[in-house]
Amino acid sequence: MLQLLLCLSAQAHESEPGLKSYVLPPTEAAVMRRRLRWAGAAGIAAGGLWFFAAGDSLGAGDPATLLTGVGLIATTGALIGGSYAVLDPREPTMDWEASGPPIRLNLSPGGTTTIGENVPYGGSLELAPRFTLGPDVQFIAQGALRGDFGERVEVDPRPQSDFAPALTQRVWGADLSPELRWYLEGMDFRLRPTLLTRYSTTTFANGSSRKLERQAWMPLTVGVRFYISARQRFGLYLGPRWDSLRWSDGGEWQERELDFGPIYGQAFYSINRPHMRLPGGWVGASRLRISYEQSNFDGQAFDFGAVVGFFGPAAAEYAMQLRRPGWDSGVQLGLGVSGTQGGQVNLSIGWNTQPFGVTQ
Amino acid sequence: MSLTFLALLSCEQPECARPAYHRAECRVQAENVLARLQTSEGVELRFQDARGSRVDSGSSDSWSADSWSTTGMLRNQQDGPVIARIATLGNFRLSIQTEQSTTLSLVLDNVDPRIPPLEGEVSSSGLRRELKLDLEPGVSWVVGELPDSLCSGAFRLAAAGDIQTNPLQFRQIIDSLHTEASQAVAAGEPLLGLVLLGDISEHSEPDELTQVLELLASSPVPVAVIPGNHDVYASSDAVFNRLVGPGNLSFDLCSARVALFDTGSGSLAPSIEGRLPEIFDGQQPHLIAGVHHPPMPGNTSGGWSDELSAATLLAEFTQAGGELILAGHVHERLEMLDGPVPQVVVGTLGADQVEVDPDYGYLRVSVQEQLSWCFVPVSASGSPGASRPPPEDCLSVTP
Repeated sequence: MLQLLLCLSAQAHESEPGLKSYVLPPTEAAVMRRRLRWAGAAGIAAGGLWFFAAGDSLGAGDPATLLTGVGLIATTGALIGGSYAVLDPREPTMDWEASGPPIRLNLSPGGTTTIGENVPYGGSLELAPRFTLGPDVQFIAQGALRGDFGERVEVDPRPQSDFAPALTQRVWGADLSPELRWYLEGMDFRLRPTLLTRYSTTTFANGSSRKLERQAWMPLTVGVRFYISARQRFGLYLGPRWDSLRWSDGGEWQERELDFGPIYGQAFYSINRPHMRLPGGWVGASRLRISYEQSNFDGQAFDFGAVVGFFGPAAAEYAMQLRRPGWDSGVQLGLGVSGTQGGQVNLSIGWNTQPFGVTQ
Repeated sequence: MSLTFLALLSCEQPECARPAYHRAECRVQAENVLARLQTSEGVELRFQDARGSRVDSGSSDSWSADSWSTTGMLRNQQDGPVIARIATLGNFRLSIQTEQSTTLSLVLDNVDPRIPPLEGEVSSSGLRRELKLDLEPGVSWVVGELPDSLCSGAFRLAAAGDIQTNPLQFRQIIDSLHTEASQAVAAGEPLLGLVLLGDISEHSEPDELTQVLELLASSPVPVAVIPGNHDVYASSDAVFNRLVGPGNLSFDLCSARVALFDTGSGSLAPSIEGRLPEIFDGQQPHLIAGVHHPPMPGNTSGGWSDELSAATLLAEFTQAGGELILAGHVHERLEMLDGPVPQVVVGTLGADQVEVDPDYGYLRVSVQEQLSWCFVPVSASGSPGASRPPPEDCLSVTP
């Protein structure tokens, strides 16, 4: 699989919109997609083989389900890209496109059909301003604040319990994940040390309560992104993870200790659609992005049948950036769905600008 | 998590009004429904917490029968006795209420053979007792209690999980428990039970569960069983609860409080999570927990779908003075001593391990002033492991 990934990088040419123009002949894009498809299939096969050959070991560095998840994103991406190439074989480059906005608000609707229960709306404020440090280097000051807009309430379903509330919980937290990117020939390397922190307050059925602090430290997370065609990208991140857990019942917190945790990984594929003229003189550029994350830190595992807890969330997001002619920034709207149990919808609105320090 | 669209499209309903037994919360409801039974003669049976909720101190008649507890599972049979499968180890208690004089035939399964004959007992065999009870209006009790001599000192538990597609290997392990029980008596540490840590089937099929229940009938000691992810993914039938019993149960066993949890869906049921302080609350000097999915992610990159649920369990267990978490899911033996409490993984009852010489066996937990544990290998027939030390040599969990 590594060899196939290196082949991917060998064929791509220039890089990031906003920094450089990008040219890749459609024939080479087809070759890239074919390699992505084979790399994905190899990942799925390697993950399955590792899982069964290692005897379900699930050790801290066990990459079995990560390989499978990355492989699925690569294969699905290649299929989406191939289908799109039939409609638009030239894939001309664009001078601006939908991408990660420097500031974004997210909203995850809540709601439940269960009497007496409450699933709160959740939201986050993400900041990711980009700074161009040189022709091939970018720094993204990335972080987020996230939390529930209310309390999760779960009733006791036992027939002898009067369906009284059994659990009340509220979760909030912060992400810190600054990223440094080096643009190379047809790909970019990324270094993204990450710290995730979540606080939760739980009130139990007997009225007692507990505060928890969970942290996932991932200081060595590295990533790579390949240019599959002028408007298609595939990327992945990987790194070790250390966890800490401490709690308090209102008094002092314990000492923080770090334990080696499960391997962290993420894969994504994105395809940008060309500009569309919209009513009112607006121009829209949209992007479909599918992703997989090997982490159940926020409890959004993708479970099916007896396959429980092995896979993290898989997600799809359709985003559209809207600009008026002459603007060098625009509003970006997004609609996302996570393939977790029950599904999770995410709505977002952001403001997308050129990187700071960029020379046009 | 989010059922937003369902919420928009449908009216509110009580929890699990649309049964979905692949959800842990609906299994909590099922196991509680199945711990109570009304017969066609109007006799109502309820499993009760063996610790009892005393209305007044004194005779057994003063225990409260107002509620019930998931310490067993009740099943009516057409033209046959009522079956009461005890889910816990050691002591148990059943309340029986009737408004008229009647006779009840009752079969109790999974009863410790050392419990003295019960009132109305007409026969006993292995872990089974048959009772014929003449009931008067009011509340009657069936109470099983281990002799004080068994609880006067140290004792042993056996624990392991993950049978899946290999019930014949599990049969050998059940056979070896007879040797374990004899040796335990000789060592002055009677073996009081086996804890099965989930994945007793591969596909949640009734036939698979029935086959394991048949094997359990030949165990020398009672068996407490919790489900794993392979046992509870059928959505339309609470098959594990219906055939085996509750997946969430807690009980006192001599000097230990034992709390077992259904983590087959990769998390605790929210209502169980909300009752953790009550579940762990007890007067016993020792506290042991059993789950299928190990709650420490450090050595298990998969397992819990919701890491917050695992963290809550760890925090409450540690805060309550918990000493040992037993787990399955991973098909090998692992010992994790880095976290807040020691955790031992023993998914070694027969599920595929790929190795030429599979590491099958069970964990022996000695409950003395301090807890200690070691691994007793039970090699597969014909494997090179047949040359391993005999079962009396208990191995370190860390291979």
